[in-house]
This record gives sequence, C-alpha cells and structure tokens, in this order.
Amino acid sequence: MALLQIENLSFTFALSSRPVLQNISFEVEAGEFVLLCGTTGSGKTTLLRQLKKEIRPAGQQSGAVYYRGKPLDSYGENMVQEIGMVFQNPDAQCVTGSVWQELAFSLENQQTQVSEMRRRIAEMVSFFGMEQLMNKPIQTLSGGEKQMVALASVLLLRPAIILLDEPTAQLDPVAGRSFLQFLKQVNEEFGITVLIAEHHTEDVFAMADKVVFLKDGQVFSQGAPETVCRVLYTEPKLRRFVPQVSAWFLESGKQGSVPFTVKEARRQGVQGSRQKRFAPMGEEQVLSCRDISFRYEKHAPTVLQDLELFLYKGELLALMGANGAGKSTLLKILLGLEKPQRGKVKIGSGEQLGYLAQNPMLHFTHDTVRGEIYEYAKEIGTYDAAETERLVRWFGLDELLDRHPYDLSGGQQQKTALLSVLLQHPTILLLDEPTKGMDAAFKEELAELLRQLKDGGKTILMVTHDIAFAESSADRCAMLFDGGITAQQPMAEFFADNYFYTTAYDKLREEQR
Amino acid sequence: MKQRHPITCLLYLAGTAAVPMLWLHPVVLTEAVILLVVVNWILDSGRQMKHNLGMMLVLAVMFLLVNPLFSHRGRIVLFTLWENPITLESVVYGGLLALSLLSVLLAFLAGNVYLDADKWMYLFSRVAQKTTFALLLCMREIPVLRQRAQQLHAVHRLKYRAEPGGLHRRIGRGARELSALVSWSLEDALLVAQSMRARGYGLHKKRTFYFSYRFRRGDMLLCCFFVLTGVALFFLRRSGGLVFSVYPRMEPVLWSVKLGIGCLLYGFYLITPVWLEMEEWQKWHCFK
Repeated sequence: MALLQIENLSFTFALSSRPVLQNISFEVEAGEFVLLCGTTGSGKTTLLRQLKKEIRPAGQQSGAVYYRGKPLDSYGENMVQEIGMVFQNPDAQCVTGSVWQELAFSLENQQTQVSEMRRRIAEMVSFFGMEQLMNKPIQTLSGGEKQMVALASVLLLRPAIILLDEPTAQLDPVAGRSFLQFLKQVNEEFGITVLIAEHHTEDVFAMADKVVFLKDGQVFSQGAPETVCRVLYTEPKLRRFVPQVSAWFLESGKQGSVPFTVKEARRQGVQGSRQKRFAPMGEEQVLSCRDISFRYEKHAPTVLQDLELFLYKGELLALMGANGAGKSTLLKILLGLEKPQRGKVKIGSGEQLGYLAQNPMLHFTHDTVRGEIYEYAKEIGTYDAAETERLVRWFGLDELLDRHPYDLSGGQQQKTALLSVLLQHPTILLLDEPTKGMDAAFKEELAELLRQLKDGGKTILMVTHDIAFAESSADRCAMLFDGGITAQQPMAEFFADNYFYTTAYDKLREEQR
Repeated sequence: MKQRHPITCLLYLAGTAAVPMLWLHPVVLTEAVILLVVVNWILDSGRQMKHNLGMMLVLAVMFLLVNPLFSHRGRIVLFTLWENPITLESVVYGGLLALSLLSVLLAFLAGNVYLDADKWMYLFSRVAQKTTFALLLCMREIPVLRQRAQQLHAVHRLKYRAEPGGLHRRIGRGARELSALVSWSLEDALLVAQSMRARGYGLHKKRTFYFSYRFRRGDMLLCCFFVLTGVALFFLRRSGGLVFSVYPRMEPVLWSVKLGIGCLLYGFYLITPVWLEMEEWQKWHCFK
C-alpha cells in the first residue's frame, strides 16, 4: 500500500474559475525520494499545500488524497506530526528569534514535556552537528543554516513524510547542494519519505527515486528519473529541465542508461558542447578600483584587502565567490554606500551606476506595476512616453501593468525592478544575484535581456553564485576570495583553468586531465 | 550568577532591591552602594556601570537637591534660600533617598547581566503564556525590521538620487520608505503564520515552553540562603531599634550589635555573585 496516494486531484482557488490542478494522480511509496518539478506556475506549491491540511488554501477541491489507504481528511490533529513541511523562504519560516526556541517551537505546540523535548532536541542537534549554532540569534545565521534549522525543527516531530517547497531556491549553490545531500541522508538512514518541489533539478534528478513533472496543472510525465528525462528531452520547450550531462548524452544518441552525474557521463564518454560566442573585450575602462581595503568597524575583521577590479566598456563581468566573501560589500563600495578605508573607486566620466538589489521587493514603492514604472519615471524626471512604452513591451510587462508588484512571480518582479533601474538611465548596471530563486526559463530570458542591454552599450557587473548562468551570459569572470580578486579572466579561460569551481562542460573535457 | 536558574536570580534581585528601598539607614545604604559597585564590577567589569554613570549621578543629585528644596521640616536650619529655610534633616533625608535610589539602580544594572531576556521570558511564561509567546514573536521582529529598514534605505537612496530635493520631497520619500517597510513586513507575516500553522500552532489551546534551565542543587541551596537571610533581616528589623528616623527629630547613628548583625547578613547576601565567581575562579585554577 502506498504511503500517499493522489487520485484525480483537481483544485480551483476561491474566486477563480480556472483550475490550478487538473486530474493529478500519482503515488508515493513509503521511503521514496520523489522529485516534483515543472514550469513556473504549474501548480507545484499548490499541490504540496493540498497534502497538508493546516495550510490548504481556500478553494474547490475534487478527487481524493489517501494516506496509508485512508482519506487524508479522516485523520485527526496528529497529522501535523505525520506530514512535515519545509518552505522556500528561510527567513519567513523562522518564527522565533533564536535557534533553540525555533527547534522547540513545533514540540511546544504538541504539549511535549520539557524532559522529552530536551532529549529530542539534544538528539537532533547532535545528528545535525549544529551544537555551535544553538545559542545564536537566527538573524545571524546564513540562509543554508536557517534551512537546516527549519528541517531539524520539522524532523523533531518524527514525521513519516516531509514535503519541501523549493527549499534551496534562496540558497547559494554550495549551501543548496549540502542541504540536498543532507536531505538524502535523512531519507536513506531513516527511511523518511521525501516529496520535494524543486526547479533546481540538476542535483535532485540524481537523488530521486521517482520524478513527477507538472505542466499547466497536469502531470506531464512521471516515473523513474531516466524515463522522465527521455520524455522531457523530446519536448524542445522542456529540454532545459533535463540535467546538463543527461542532455548531452541524449544528444549524442548513445545507447545505455541516462547518466545524471559527471562520473557516470564520463564513463559513457559523453562530450559537452558550448554554444556561446564571446564579445571582444573593449579597451576603455569605465570603472576601476585599486588597493581597496575595507572593514565595517575599527576592530572588525577585514572584509576586503588590496582589492583590484576593472570593468571594461560593453562587457558583462560575473563576480563570483563564496558566501560572506564580501561580494555585496564590494557592490556597496562601488555604489558609494560604504567608504573604503583605503583605495579609490574611479568611475569614467559620463558613466552612471544603476543598482539592482538581490531582493526585488526592496525596489517597490507603488501599488501597481504601472506606478512602479510610469509614476516612478515622472518622479525622477526621466519620463518619456515612447521610450517607457518600448521598454515595457520589450520586457514583456505590458500585460501586468495593473497588478500589485507583490503578486507577481519572482521572475516578473525581477524584471519590473530591473526596468525601474533602467529608467535612471545608467550606463553601468550592478546586479546582485539576479537569478536567485529563479527557474530555468527566467534565466534564459534574463541572459537574453542582458545581451541586448550590452548591445545597447551598457556595461554590466553581476554578482552571482550561478555558474551555469555565468557561463551562458558573462564575458569575463572574477573570483573574490580572502578579501581580494584571485582570478579575473575571460569566461572560457576562467572555467577551463578551474578544476572544481567550474561548469559541467569543463568537468567533462578530456584534455584537461 | 549568570549560570543560575531564573528563579534564583529573581529572588536575589528582589532582595538586593527591596532592602535599600525599605530600610533607609545610612550605614545599610552605604554598605549597599559599595557592595553593589563591587558586584557590578565582578559581573561585567563595570561596563554597564560606566555606560550609565551619568544618568545615575544626575538622578541621585536630583533626589539630593529636590527634597531639601521642597520639604522644610526639621529643627536645625542650615541657611535660607530664596526665603526658604533649608534644614539639616531634609538634607540628610534627601541624601538617604539618593543613596537608596543609587543602590536600587545598581541592583537592576547587575540584574541586567545575570537575568537576561531569555530568563525573563522563562519567568513570564510561568504566569502568562500567551503574552510571553507574543513577546517572543515581537522580539524576533525587532532585529528583522532593523535589517529590512537598512536594506530599504540603501536601495531607496539610490533609487531617488535623481529626484529633485526639497523638504516636501524628502518627507514624501520617507513616507514611501515607511510604507514599503510596512507592506513588506505584512507580506512576510503571512508566511510566518503559515509556517506556524504547518508546525501545529493553534491545534491545542495550551502549549508547553521549552527552556534549558535546570533547577540544580546549588540553586536550591542559594534560594534557601536568600529566603533565610530575608526572614532573619525582617525579624531583626521588627525587633526594633534599627530604624533610623530623621523626622521629626534626627537621631544620632548608634552602633549596636543588632545593627552589626544586620549589616553582616545583608552584606553577605549582597556579595553572593562575588563568592560564586570566586568559587568558579578557584576551580579553574586548581585544575591547571
């Protein structure tokens, strides 16, 4: 008997006529690791919410969900413990201010005795290896650590199945990967069933026992990862959901099982390909910093030390580096929000900086997208009816003008914010992780937008963690480490010279070894 | 003292603050001020004391001055100020009040160190569950709001640098920033609420509270000591002869065995953190 059985499930939100989910049927066996993926707006989140009745949205549901063979709704209150849920946003799912309060929160709700709580928490903290985090305020934790705390807090209730709604979307790839590895470990060691919605499918395909692909609220394909992979590959529009190495394998037409890791792909002799053409590098430096040193306070550790960075006209430079390496600090210095203790930032004459923050929500000040664009342009005195109109159409926002910016999808928010930055007529754009939390479709769109902006004469500096995105959009890459720039090279050379911090293409190249 | 159970800490705080409030005796008050300075010094090397020195002195001097200016009781007139007789008695009484205030403030400063926010939460949660939980949520929100406001401010500064200046515009910008902060926080609050529900908040009327404090044998002993000292001091004072009266007639400060015992008891009570700290220190150095 399947642990979770979904039969012909359909769902329509209250006050809406269009169903979000239509006739969804699939099963989750006990102990399985199931990946739920699909295009943006395909109903992944809504589907997960149907399975947890405390947070089921208002609307009309038909079909049935069975848990251990009985309808889900026939169970009582203790289902809260049986089915756990981890959300996407690491900040907003923390309820309290410190780690131990957060861990205890779910147990307190169940009226667990203090001695029992103490034991369970001790056990969980040791298993997660987060003893040193216990007494820290949650605000000081990194995104990855927050997600770990959220997972631990859910596991404390000893659930039979955990639902995860894009848990790594807001994390950098390194933290995201270690979160997933840990999740896999939990799944294998304790047999806890996992149902995870992800659009970062690259790593999850290799872990999953089963994949369910949703498209427009319907199950498009389901089955073993390999089966789904082959089906997706036949659809040109969905091909980007296939992990890179698997796509290359299928492209080559080789026989055998589809590889999901570089190791398997190498064994099968898969060759990568790269389509990108490089723009010739300009000569003129539009921005340069020399010998920048910075620390936040007198006795605080040095964040940047003798840093040198150059930006040439018309290029896109991707700035990479680990969390806390000082990337955001560097942007603040370039923007003049922080003053370096030593060194100078030189900006070419006539150049103007534009800044897109990591979180597009920070940019919004109006009630509608229209206000965000037209009103804003009037406020800062750069309104030009024809030009604004052209930008809106180019960005594909003309349909959304009357929506509230908060109601847009992540990608649409990002585009709205970017457009409002462009209204300031900057010549140099500084982008802080523009692809964070975005799906593959948006990344493609953004890469294309950035290319067109470059063609229009803009110079772009982009902070990113996303190696694949940097590969598809950047001309040059720079790596920030230990307060300085350790490598600053054209993109192809940069990744070819790297061994670990590099693209799938370069990992597969034979001659490098 | 910092490692002690909240109840122990609360009991100690109550004692240190109550005695100088209720027993206005020059010897006792002087003793309290001196020993509390020592205690503060031991607890956080006087950091908080330095920080609040100005405020404490201003308040103490105010008490010292206000009483003689407004109260003219007493027999011995020192001088007349703006046709107001300033009496020795009211000066002395003002001085006592100032000392008393100073010791209460010092007691609470020390309390700040050993009775931190988490411990207060624990104590509250025994009386008012829901309020405590609401407080917990609020306390999380404070640093979050501060962080958000900073981020918003940076982005808005850049966003509106091209906008013409002027007070009117500046106010408008401030209002916009504030409204952005509020709507963002509300949006976030919805997500928090969802996370709470998903983890079973609200299913049962009552919740338990997890705190990692344990009432150890040491706490028991300390509490007994505090209570016994308190009771002893109470009966000692009630047995008479220990009240220093200023009005209507100031009595000389008479030394007596009873006063000595009282001072000794209270002094020993006050320096509890000092000997706890010394014990700790000794343990460390014996191991080495």
